[in-house]
Amino acid sequence: MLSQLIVSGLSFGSLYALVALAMVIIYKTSEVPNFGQGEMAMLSTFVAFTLLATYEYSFIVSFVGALLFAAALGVFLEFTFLRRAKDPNILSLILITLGFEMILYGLASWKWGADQRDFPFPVSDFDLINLGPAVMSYLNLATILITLVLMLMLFLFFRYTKVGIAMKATQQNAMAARINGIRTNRILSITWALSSMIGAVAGMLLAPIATLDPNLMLDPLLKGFASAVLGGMTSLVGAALGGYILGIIENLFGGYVSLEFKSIVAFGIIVLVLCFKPSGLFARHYVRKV
Amino acid sequence: MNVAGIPNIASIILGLIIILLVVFEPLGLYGFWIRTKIYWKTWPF
Repeated sequence: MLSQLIVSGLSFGSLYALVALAMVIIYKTSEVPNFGQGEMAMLSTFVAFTLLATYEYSFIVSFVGALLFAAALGVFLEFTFLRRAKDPNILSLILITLGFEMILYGLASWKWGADQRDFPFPVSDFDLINLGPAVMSYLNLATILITLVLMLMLFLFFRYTKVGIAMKATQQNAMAARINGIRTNRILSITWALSSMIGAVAGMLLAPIATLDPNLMLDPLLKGFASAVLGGMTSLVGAALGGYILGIIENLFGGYVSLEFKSIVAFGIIVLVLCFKPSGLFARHYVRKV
Repeated sequence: MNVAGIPNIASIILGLIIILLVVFEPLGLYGFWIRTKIYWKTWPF
């Protein structure tokens, strides 16, 4: 039972890790926790659903289309709203993301309605593979693998590409980056696009497990935020590990303590982490940018 | 257009109001009051 709980915790944890990664990437560059993340991912998932079900494109085309839509949505939010804010402070930027979230939620429920749909995913949730003491569905395996591949790509992106290095430079010191000839505004737009795309992947992996409706990402967003806090809001590796840890802890709690109170674990963890190690488990130190 | 969609439109409009307020009038009504006060204090100029 223990290994089964851990295995299924891993697959949920990888979704949380994706959401947490998307959040942390934005938080590191602009110090804004993006609360519109979930709705952006939800809307992109709906776009993928429409491409798949209504226009009957193949899965790959819909997937890529939804990713492009997500990127455009991220750039749109940054370019139209956040960049226009008059002498922005963090609070007003957070308010903008919240307002954007409400707009997207309204748009999605208006366009697609509140009925729950099945997201046709090419990998089955019902065929199982045996892993010795535990079983795992192909969908869970695909979730874990896609997440790992995505993390590897992110790592390579931040380490070896010019844009990735420019992003890191902007994260560390925007002023110095601008002096060195990096267009920080453009980098910020690209960062929003990247984060939105990661969120969209999380949404599309979650949709076949849950049902596709406008509330799809409400819960995973909060859990992802919790895992980002757990791992450290300033560390990408920390956020990813935090997601896995949260998924496993939550599942173990659900299995051994109480299934009804499973969803409070994440929020309990937020409180505990903020009380005892406010920088998170894996962030090296708490730096306040001035 | 049916009535069932109205709460969604309300949510869209509310979100827009929040964003536009933050973008154009970050201090809210207080900003308006400050501007009125300055206008009154320095009136002929």
